[in-house]
Amino acid sequence: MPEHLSQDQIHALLDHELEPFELQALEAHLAACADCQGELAAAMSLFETIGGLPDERLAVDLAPGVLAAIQPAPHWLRSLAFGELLVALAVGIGLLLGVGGDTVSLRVTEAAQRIAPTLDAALQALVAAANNAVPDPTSFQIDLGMPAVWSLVIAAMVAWALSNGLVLRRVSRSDRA
Amino acid sequence: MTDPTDRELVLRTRGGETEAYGEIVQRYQDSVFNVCLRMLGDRYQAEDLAQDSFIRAFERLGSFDVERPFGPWIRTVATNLCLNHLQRRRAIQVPLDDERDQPVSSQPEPERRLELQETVERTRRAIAEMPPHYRAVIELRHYQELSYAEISEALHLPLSDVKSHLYRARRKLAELLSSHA
Repeated sequence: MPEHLSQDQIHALLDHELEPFELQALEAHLAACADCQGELAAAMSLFETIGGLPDERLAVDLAPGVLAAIQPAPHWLRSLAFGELLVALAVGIGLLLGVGGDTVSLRVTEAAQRIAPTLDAALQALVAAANNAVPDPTSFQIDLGMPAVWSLVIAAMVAWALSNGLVLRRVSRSDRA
Repeated sequence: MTDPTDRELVLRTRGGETEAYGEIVQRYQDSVFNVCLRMLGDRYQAEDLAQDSFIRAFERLGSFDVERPFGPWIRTVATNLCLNHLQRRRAIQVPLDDERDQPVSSQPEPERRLELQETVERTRRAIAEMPPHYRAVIELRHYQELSYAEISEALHLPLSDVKSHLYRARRKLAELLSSHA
């Protein structure tokens, strides 16, 4: 009698991964070998235990969460966020053009005038804020470091990316719970 | 009126009709959840990963061959996602300490039912204690009934590794089952 079957052969037999000629040889051996029949029975028992796990029922519907994650933000929100981005960029550029020297010195009215042609509303708000803050806006200056200007611009861009679902677009169920 | 086929729903989703994807999710969420539950051994994590699996599948829907069945594909996506998750965390979960739905059982006798339930819990615990790659091959072979070649393709492993992983995984599982008995 040939030597006993290996575990690999027994598993391949149960996995239906044997070629026909291999299968024939194994079956012939099994028919005459009680030891290998015992090994086969043990492997079959393990396979049955593994396969005996019942399916469990999902308690929640995943569809709403998935759809919320894959759908882009509403058009109005994207438009609003895009508008914010434009305003921030224009303000940032205006600030940069209205400065000189190593320290960024903002002359409010000058910066506002540069922004005015494209963003009238932003100009009005800026001038109004400046007028409220000091009696003579032309003499009012703010020391503003370059990092602060770029922080403003970058923050607006991140806000735009967030609202378009490019970042943090999913919330895990356990976090929501 | 007959329900739309998976193929139709996938094509509609690709065409921009994301609501069609909601129907796909509802069709496969139970089976995907069970893949994740077997891989992770934790109900809440399984829900999270099942949701992430559908999102990941949506992102890759363009590469899905609509002539092939959707179910095996999404379950393979879920298996790989769970495998990546486990490899990142490397934390062994000890499951089954939370509330669970009662397993489906056709045995009417209370003693028999209890015995079956214990076997189920022991098996889940043993699977959850195995290394991630072992869990993945067990999942793909025993529950998704993939061939060695298909497992090799799904996990990007050589065929010889699939065979050795499967053999070692089963041996490990047998050891764990007898130690939990």
